[in-house]
Amino acid sequence: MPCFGSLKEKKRTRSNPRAPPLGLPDLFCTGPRPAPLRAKPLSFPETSMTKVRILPDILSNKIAAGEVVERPASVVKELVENALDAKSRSITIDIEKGGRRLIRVADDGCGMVPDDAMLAIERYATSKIHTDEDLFNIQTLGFRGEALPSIASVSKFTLISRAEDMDIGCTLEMAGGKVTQVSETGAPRGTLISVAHLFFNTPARRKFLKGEGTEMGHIADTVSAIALAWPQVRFRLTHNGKVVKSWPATTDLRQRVEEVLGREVRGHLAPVSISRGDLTVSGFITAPEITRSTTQKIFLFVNGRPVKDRVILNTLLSGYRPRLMKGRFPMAVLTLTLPFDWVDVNVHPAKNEVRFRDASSVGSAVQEGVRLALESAEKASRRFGGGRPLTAATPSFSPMPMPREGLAGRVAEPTALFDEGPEMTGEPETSFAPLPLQPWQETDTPSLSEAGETERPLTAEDEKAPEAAPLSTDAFQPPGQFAHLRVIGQHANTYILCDAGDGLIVIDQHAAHERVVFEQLKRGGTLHSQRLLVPETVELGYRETDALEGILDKLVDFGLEVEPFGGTTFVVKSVPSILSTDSMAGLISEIAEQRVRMGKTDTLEQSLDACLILMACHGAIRAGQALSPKEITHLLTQMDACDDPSFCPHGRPTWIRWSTGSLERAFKR
Amino acid sequence: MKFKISKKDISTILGRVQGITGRKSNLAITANVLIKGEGQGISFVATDLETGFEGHYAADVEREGAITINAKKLFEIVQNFPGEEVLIEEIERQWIEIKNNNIVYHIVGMSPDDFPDVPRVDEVTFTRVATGNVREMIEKTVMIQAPSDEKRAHITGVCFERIQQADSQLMRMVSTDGRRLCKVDVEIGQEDNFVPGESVIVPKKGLMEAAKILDKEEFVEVGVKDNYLIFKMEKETVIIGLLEGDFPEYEQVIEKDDAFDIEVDRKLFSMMLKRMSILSSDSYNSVIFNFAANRLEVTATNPDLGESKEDMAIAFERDEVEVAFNPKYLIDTLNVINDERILVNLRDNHHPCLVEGVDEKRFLSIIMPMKI
Repeated sequence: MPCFGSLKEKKRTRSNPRAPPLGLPDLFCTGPRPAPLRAKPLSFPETSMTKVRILPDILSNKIAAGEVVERPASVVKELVENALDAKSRSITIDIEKGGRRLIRVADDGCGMVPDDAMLAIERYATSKIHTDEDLFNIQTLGFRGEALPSIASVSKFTLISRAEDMDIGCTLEMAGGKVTQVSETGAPRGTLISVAHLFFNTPARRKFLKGEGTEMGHIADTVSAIALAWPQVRFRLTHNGKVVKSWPATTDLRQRVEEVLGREVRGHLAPVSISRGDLTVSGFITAPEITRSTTQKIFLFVNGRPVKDRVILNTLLSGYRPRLMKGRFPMAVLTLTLPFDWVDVNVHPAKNEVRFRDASSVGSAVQEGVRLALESAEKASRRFGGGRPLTAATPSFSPMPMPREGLAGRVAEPTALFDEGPEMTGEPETSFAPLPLQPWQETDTPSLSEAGETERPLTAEDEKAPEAAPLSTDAFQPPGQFAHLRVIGQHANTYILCDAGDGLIVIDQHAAHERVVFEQLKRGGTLHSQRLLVPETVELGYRETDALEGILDKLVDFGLEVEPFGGTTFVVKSVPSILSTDSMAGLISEIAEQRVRMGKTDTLEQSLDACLILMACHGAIRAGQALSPKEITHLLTQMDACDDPSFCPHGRPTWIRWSTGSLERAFKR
Repeated sequence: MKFKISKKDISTILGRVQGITGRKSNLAITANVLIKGEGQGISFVATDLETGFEGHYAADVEREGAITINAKKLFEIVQNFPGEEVLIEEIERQWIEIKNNNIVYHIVGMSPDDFPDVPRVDEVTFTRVATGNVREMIEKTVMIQAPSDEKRAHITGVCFERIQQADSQLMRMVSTDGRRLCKVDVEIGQEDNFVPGESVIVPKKGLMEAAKILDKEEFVEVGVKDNYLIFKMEKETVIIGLLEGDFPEYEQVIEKDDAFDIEVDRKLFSMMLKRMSILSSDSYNSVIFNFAANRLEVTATNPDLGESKEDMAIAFERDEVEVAFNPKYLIDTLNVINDERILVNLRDNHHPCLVEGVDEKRFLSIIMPMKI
């Protein structure tokens, strides 16, 4: 049961062994504000001289409620966290009308004795911390002692609780922060809290509530996030009496992650597990082809607490580099476990922000963990990322506007015909929609999903895919695969068309060659560097000069030898021989500009990677460049030699595939 | 206009202009060739707005006039024409008939008035040079090609110089891609009306077109005026627009210290390089040369494939030198040197390496080593 923020005698022994196991005086935490101030709120004489007054509790609780209780989802969050702090094994959340009418959280945790229950609803009453030191060594989700009084001040609040060693429980009812009734009652072990008519006494805030569906969505998201961090706890969420989510307790995080993130991720999860001293990063991340357009499905936990942290988020994303396309984000559940005194969680009342004592080492551990996870997953299973690029992130095939009645000899306005109803009704997936792009193996999860995002209606193919995936035996084998394709030719001097027997492979020559060059550059070490007979000078801006000077010695490792030439001028003395004989000036200034743009937030390694990507881009075959058959064959052979031939360094796919089946469907055969 | 011309003649002429008409320009009409019939001859004009071609030939002109017609199509038509003669006639405005006996084509032309003017440069002082020498000079310099999207003039173009020396006078072309450079000199006889002048940069593409016409006649007149380089022969003229830009000061790199000369056999050296380059790829394209006492050891390593090693006896008595090169650059150079014995002037891994024939000094190639 939501062990109220306030009283949790039993747990306290863990967080603060020095404190007496029981003892009410300790319950008033010495936290952020000194308690004495509160002792005399009303003692000031109300003379006209004093304009400054200490607010009465009831008002200050309402103000606090503004910070803690922003919307029904935040009530749910506070109550569920309390329940978890009480060591519950099963938590049931019942919602009515999106939380406006009722939020009820029942747990089977340690419960409270009646005296504790009374204290729990006092502000700054908590069982979770006791001393200053505790504040910087917080092991529980709650600690501020604000939640219950805040919630109680803006709702009709009922608390029923029975501690494990008590025979009888107690009921406490409040309205708008005032206790209306206290009684003994029979109750199961644990705590049940009902929050009815939230914001009934703060109409202004009530007005800001969104629709029932939206608020419920937020609640479901909140519960999902918490559930991901606590797989060993059973969660059940109902709305208006209907079960919305129900996750049984499990010891396997993967199972919980699959349940919460949805079946799409099944078979595409890579486990992350890395330790750096006392810091552990664990969890699951999705393969780069399962992406979203927002970071909403990236769940980060610090010691079990859901947090939103830009630093961790960015390092997570950089661990994916260069596999992701711009503007696409993976799904992830990452838990950081670190000594409690390494992190300050008391940053924001809602507790979803944290500060790390050593953010950069946390960041690099996350990045490394993600990178290793992706690499080993790609190695272990060809099906994971290795074989297929993202398919339809952009609708890459817009069929030529062919009038349906064209055969009948009527040449009408093609576009108008598409929208015309009757004939189309037979086939809801209109033939003019982008052809479904098939992954390399038919059996794999179709990833035509991208454009549609989460709202996309499931097609029959989607339905059967997850079951089919594990059966796939003729998995795509990258080595030798591209070279064996029969080359049909080049389209628009940009795309190479190949016959794969059971489908049509279209390769973006620039993207593919970019990947080839990038990997060759990345391998570094033995990269050969050609000295220039006629050194090239490059003129930069002041900021670019500064940025470039910082990485000159690193560029040498890539075979790019650039030296300052006085002022803002640089001279290029040798270049990686893999790059064509093009001018280096453009490349150098792009590298410098990029470094300026990324500023100091990115690590050196990242900006060097960015340099390599730029170099690869410059060194690669351009779009619109005619290739001889020999050059095409050579490119395909080189693609086979790549570790990850399916994505260009920017994360765009290098090839797509139309199966014969999808072509047939498009032609209504 | 109406004229008759031998199939062989017109094929040859059209073949020469394909390079110019085949290049994309801002004007669609530059894919056409302008044919003018005047008096007892016809003239062919082609341009890509950078390089212009003009040729005057004898033909049986029945009616004077001018037409423009797609050069590629006309070339294909006449190449496969049966019979010896081709009759071309503008039967209506820009409606051109090409026929002979039992075959006839009708091709749409474009208005000759729209055809861009090929610059007319008057009062040029020409120097007479042996055609073969000029062609050789061009071929050996344009060997160092420029990437298609290169913009720098000193790489897309060749430096053309007319140098007056104390006891001789010469024309010189210098070409570079920033990593290597080569220089070809042609000596001009006293009686050939030599005029010294500033060095200019001539686009490599234009020079390649010019080289195509330098085959029949023994001499060609070469002149520079008003931002044009002109090659003039009896019947044909090529005029190339010069590039604006500065060519790097190459004089100091071509000065060599003979102490570093190493003499080797061109063919043996070249064959060895070819064997070494078997293992080179885009990313691993260097060959390491280790010069030790009277012995040269060459190694190539490609982590993707393997490695190779070869040694040969040479006359070398200095301290050991280790240096790496892109073998392609050396092979290119060796292929255009005429002498059987060559001099490789090699100081160390930082200085440019100079390659030339033992006797024949007109051609000099300079190659920058790679970093090891």
